[in-house]
Amino acid sequence: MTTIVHVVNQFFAGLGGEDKAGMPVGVIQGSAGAARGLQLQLGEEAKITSTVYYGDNYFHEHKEDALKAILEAVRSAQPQALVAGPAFNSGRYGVSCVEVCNAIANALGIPCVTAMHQENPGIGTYLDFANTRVYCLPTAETTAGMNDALKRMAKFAIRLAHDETVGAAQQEGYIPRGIRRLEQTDRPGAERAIEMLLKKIRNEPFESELPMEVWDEAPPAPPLAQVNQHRIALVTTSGVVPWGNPDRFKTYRNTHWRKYNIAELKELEPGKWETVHGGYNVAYMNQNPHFGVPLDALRSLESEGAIGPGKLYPAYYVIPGNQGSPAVMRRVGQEIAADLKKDNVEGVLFVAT
Amino acid sequence: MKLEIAEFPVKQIRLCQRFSYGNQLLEVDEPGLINLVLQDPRISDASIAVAMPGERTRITGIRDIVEPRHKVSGSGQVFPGILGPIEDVGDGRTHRLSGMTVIAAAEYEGTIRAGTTVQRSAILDMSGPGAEISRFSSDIHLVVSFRIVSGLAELDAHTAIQLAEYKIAHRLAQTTVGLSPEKIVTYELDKLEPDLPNVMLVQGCITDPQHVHSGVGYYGLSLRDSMATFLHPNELFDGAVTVDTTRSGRGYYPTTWDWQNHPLVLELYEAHGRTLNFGGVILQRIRFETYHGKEVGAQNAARLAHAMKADGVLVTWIGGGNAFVDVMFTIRACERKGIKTTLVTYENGGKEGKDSPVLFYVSEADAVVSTGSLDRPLALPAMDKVIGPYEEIKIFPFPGAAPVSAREPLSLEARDVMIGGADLWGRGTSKCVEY
Amino acid sequence: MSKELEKAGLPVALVSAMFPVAMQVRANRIVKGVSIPHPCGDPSLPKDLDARLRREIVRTALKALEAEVTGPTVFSPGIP
Repeated sequence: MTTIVHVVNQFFAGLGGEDKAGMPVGVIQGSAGAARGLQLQLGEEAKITSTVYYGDNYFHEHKEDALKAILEAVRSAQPQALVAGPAFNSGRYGVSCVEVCNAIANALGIPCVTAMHQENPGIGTYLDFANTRVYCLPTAETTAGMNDALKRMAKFAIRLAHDETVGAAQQEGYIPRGIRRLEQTDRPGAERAIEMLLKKIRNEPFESELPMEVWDEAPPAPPLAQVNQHRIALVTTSGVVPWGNPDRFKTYRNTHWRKYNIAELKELEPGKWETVHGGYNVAYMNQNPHFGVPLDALRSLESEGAIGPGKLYPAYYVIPGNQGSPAVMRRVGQEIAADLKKDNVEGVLFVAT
Repeated sequence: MKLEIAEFPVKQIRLCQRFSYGNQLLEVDEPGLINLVLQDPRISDASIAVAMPGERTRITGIRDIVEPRHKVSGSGQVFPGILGPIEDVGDGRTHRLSGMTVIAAAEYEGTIRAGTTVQRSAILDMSGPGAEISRFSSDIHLVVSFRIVSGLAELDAHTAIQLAEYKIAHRLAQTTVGLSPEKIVTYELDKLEPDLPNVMLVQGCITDPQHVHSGVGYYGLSLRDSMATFLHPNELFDGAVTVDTTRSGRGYYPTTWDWQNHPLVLELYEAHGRTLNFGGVILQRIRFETYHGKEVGAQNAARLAHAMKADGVLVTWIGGGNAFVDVMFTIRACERKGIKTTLVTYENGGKEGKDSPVLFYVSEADAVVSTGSLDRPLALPAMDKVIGPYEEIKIFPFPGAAPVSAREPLSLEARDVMIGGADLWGRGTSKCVEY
Repeated sequence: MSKELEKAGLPVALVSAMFPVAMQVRANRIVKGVSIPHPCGDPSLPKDLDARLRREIVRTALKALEAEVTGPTVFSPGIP
C-alpha cells in the first residue's frame, strides 16, 4: 500500500484558528481536517497514515525544535511521499511548508509536494532551496481553490510515491525551481529561433526557453556616521595578485580568495604585481595595478585625514571574478564578510572589473 | 548578388605525392604541402596527419579550423584581404570540399600571461564523450601541425598560422577545378515576397581593440571599436570574416569554419522566400568598455536594422561576461523601435544548473532560444593517438599552470575546452530545460 | 558577492564601470568607475591627473559609505 504523510498547520488540521497558532507539533493517526479532503482525492491508490500539524507561529518561533519533531514523526511513519499545505496566500504557512519539505527531503530522501499561490513568500524560499526532491504546485489565491489544489497534489504525490520520473516544470505544471538541465531536442536551435521569431512577429503565442530573472532586494547596510572613525578594507575582483601568482588563481571560475599584505606599502610597486583574469584586457591593470587596487589614493586620503590614521585594513582581499559561479561568489562573500568582521572592519571599498 | 556553391564531398584522404580529387577521395601531395608551409620563414617545422571520425585520436594545439574553398568565377578570391586581393566577394561560383576540414595546430606560447588576449589552443577527440559534444568530430581532418620560430609576438604568430592554413585549404580546394560537383546550391536574396516579414541577423562580436589582432577580421582588417556594418551573407561563405588564430576555438570563440558555415545564416537562407525575406547580416562590435559605449553601439545597430526595414531580427553573439550587456541593450533598442527580436545564446548556470544562466537581463528579451549550458564537466578517456604539437597540455592557461599528458584521461571543468563543445549559434540540438 | 558583505551588515561602496549591471543585481552604493579594464583611473591621462582622478573616485566611495540610501544609488565622482 502506498503511504503518504500530510503536513498541515493547526487551522487546516481542524484544531483552531489564529488563537491556536502557538500550538506545538502534533500527530494525528490517519487523516484529519484538510487531510480528509486529500484522502478523498487519493482514493484507493494511497493511504494517509498520519497528519502532522503545527501552529504557524510556533513553527517560526521554534523552527529547530519544530523541524526536529516533524522529522521524527515522518521518520517513524516512513511514507513514500510527503504532502504539505496547500498554503494559498498564507505567507507564514507557505514558508513553513517549503522549509518542512526541504528538511524532510534532505534528511530522509522522501520526495515532497507542496502548493501555494505564485505570490506567496514561500515561493522565494522554494527557489532558494532549489531542492530536486521538492515540488511546488501553483494554486488560486484563496481556499476557494482547495478542491482543485488537493486533486492535483494527490495525483502528483502518487507519482512521486511510485518513483516516477518527473519532467520539466512547464510540461508537468509545477513551479520551476530554477534548475536548468542540459537536454537534447529534436530540432537545431537555429530552426527553433526562426520559428519563435516568426510567431512573435505574427503576434502568436510562443514560449521563451530562458526566462528573465528578477533579483530580490537587499536592504542597504546602515551608513557609517563619519568614515574616518571606522576601519575600512578593500576587496577586489580585478585579479591583481603578487607577481608569480603564488596562490595559483585561474583566469576564470575561481573558488578561493586570498588577502595580501599592504601594511607597510604606500603604493603598489610596478613589477611586483600582476593581474590574473580572463575576462578583460589586463594590459592596463598590469601597467598600473592601482586601477584595481587604488592604494596610492587610499594612502593619500589617509594622510589628509579622510581615512582615519591606521584605519585602512592592512591587507586587501582578492578573487579574480571571471565567470565565477554565483553560488561560489556568494560563499566567498560570506567568508570574506566573516573575516572582515572578525577583525572589526566596518566598511568596504569594493572594486569590480 | 548570386553565389553558386559547388559541393565536392570527401570521404577519404590519402597522403601521397600528388594532388587530386575524384570519387570522394582527396589525394594530398604531402611533401608539396609541407614545402608550401615552410616557405614562410616564421615556421620552423611542419607535419601533416589525417584524423578520421571514430578513431581513438586526440588532436592538440588546435588554433583554427577551416573548410577548403576556392572561387572559380565571380569577383575576388576566398579570404579577401588575406589570401585574396581586397575585392568584393560573394558572387559567381565557389567550390567547397565538404565532409572535411583543415585543422591548423601549432605550438606557440605567446608573450602575454593572462587576460583576454592570452593565447589559447583547443583539443578535439575523434571518439568518445568529447566527440559526442563537438560539431567537428564527424568530419575528416587534415591536421597540419607546425612549430613557430621562437620569440614571435602574437601578430606574427597569428599571421603565420593563418596564412599557412588558408593557403593549404585553398590549394586542396583547387583540386576540383574543371570537375563536376555532386551538387550546386544557389544563394541569392534578390527576390522578395511582399507579404513576408523582413528578417535580419544581428551578429555581435567581442573584440579587443587594443590587441594586435582584435579577434575579428573583416576583409583582413581587425574590427576594433567601430559601429555596426551591413554584410551580405554570401560574403561570409567566401571568407570575408576571419578570426585571430592565437585565440580562436576555445570557449566562446568561433573558428573560420563556423563563419563559413554559419548555422543561422544557412537557416535564414532556407526560410527565404518561404516564411520570411532574409534581409542580410548586421555585423556589430560588442563589449564596449563603458556604459556610454554599450548604449551607443546598441542603438546604432538598432538604427541600422530599422533603416534596412527589418521587421524582426535574430540576435546572437560571440563573447562572454559583460559583452552580454551590449547584447541585451541591443535587444532593448530594437524592440523599442518596433523590431521584434529573438536571441540565440548559450548559458552558464554552474554545474547543477542552479545559478543564473546569463549575466544580465532586460525585460524586452522575452524570446530566447537556449543552445545549452557550457558548465558541464567532461570526463575524457585515454586516447591511443595524439596528433598535434603538444604531447602535454595545460588545461587552464594561467600563470603557473602545470601540464598533463595529452594521451591520458582528462577531466575538464566545462564543455568549452573541447573545440566545438560550445554551441554558439544554434547549430546543435542541445538546450536547457527548467526543472 | 558584495551583497553578501552587505547582508553581514557592512556598508559597501562598489566601484564599477558597469553600473546598470550593479543596479540590476541591487547593489546599493554604486560608484561609477571609468572603464571595465581600469575602473579606478584613466591611463590616457598624464600620471598626475590620473592619480587625482583616482583620489576623487575613492573619495566618492568614502562619501557613499556615509550616505543614507534606500535602494540602488549611483554616485558619480566629480571631475577633479
